[in-house]
Amino acid sequence: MAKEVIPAQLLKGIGKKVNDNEFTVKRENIVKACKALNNGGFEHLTLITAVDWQDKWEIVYHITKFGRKDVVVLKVTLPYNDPKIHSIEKIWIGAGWHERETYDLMGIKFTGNKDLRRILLPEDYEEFPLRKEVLYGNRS
Amino acid sequence: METALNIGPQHPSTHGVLRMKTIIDGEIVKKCEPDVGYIHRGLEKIAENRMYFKFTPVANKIDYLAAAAWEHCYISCVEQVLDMDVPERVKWARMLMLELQRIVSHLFWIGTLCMDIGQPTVFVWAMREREKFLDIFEEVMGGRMTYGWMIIGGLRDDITPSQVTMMWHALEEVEKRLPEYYRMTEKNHIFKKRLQGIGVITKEEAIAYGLTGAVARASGVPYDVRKDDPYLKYEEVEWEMITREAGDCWARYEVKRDEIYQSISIAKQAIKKLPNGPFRLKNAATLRPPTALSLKTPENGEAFVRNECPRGEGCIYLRTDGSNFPYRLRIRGPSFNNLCILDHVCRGATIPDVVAILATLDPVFGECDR
Repeated sequence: MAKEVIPAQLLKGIGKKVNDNEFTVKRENIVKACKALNNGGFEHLTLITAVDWQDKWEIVYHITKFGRKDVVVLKVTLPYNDPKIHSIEKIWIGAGWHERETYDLMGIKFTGNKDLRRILLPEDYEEFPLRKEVLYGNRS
Repeated sequence: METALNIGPQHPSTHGVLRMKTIIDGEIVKKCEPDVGYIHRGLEKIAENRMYFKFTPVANKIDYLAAAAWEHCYISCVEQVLDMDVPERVKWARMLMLELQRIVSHLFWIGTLCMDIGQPTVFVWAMREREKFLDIFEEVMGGRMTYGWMIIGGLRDDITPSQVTMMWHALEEVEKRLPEYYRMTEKNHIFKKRLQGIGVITKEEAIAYGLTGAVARASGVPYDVRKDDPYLKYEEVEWEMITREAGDCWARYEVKRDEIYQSISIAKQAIKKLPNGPFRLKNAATLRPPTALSLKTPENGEAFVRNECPRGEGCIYLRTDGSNFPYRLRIRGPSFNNLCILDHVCRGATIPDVVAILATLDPVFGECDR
């Protein structure tokens, strides 16, 4: 499939290219990067993931475009003691629930999300269960 | 005067366990806030504590109405991170079963939709047709609802010629029977009126909310992972992506109805083209200890797989750390993302419309709550 839009040019000056479709973006540039991609025709936000590396957080965005074989990956690293990043709900409304889920299970705070409450777990739940510090059963 | 009305979580028309906090004025819905998470089982956490091959039975339970779709999604993700290329026969066989699973899932969906709308006959008929396929699944994959048939690097059991014959007969029969359904639905004035013009989602809304699957295609979004990013052998069979422009409940019904025919066609082509050959790799992770326990994943490995599950785009994102356990496994349940538009669509609709809208959004809560 022809790659009519080259993401590297879209994200020039905003993100650093790691490989063909992967970019690392600084925390303060995430909204800018998503806006640039959205304007460049990447209209579908597939997934927001948080990964707990125990000394840092990694937030991974998978963004794609209809009719395109590959997915653009944006990665943002956050310091462990300050898991806060700006919400991209203004660009994709659907991102709101992804962010709520990430907050619910990982405890990442998305500033600017209008409705950042727990979504899957009960409201009075105290832990963020997907963090590595929360232990669950035995590994087998 | 505005009244708060609580719908669910145990109401049958919520297709499982969805609670809707609705504010109504007379019969008009002013606000409808979905409350999900009643069967959240923490699958992503469970995955981190299980060896790769032990998560397969759990992956089946992500969407219990289309277990094979998620089984394949997980297995292919692990295969991608291990850089395994499965034999041709495996690819065709997997695609065949995925399409049979899609037919089963869509049949169940048509049945429950008709039940919600007040046409229980079709529900019973759909169950009858589905039963034939469940028998096939039991025969081929070893289970009626959840399987564990695919293993990392191939299949647990091969498909035999007699099973292929069974599949062909079942496909022929369901193709013959489907027009009967349409006489019960499309010729039925009430059924039509309950769906036409109800719950309209525009193309822009569908994109902004990140909807996928039949819901998005009914709003004119041309997105089907089988076409956009073909996996298995979808490139080598002839089929078309079904889209509609209207975006109402009726359009969503039509898309799924036509997709059954497409799936039948794909399955038949797969049966014809099913090549001979090995049904697993030599180093496939069979359940015998040495192979499954000694899976070596790369340190800092990464895999992202998207599949067209019956309910939309299902994705699994996997990070590995070189051990025999996933470091992080993220599941994108299409039902979860399709549900986030519920509040927006239901505003201004009547309470019976909410049932129709929810039925056509087709959430399955195993997949939504994970």
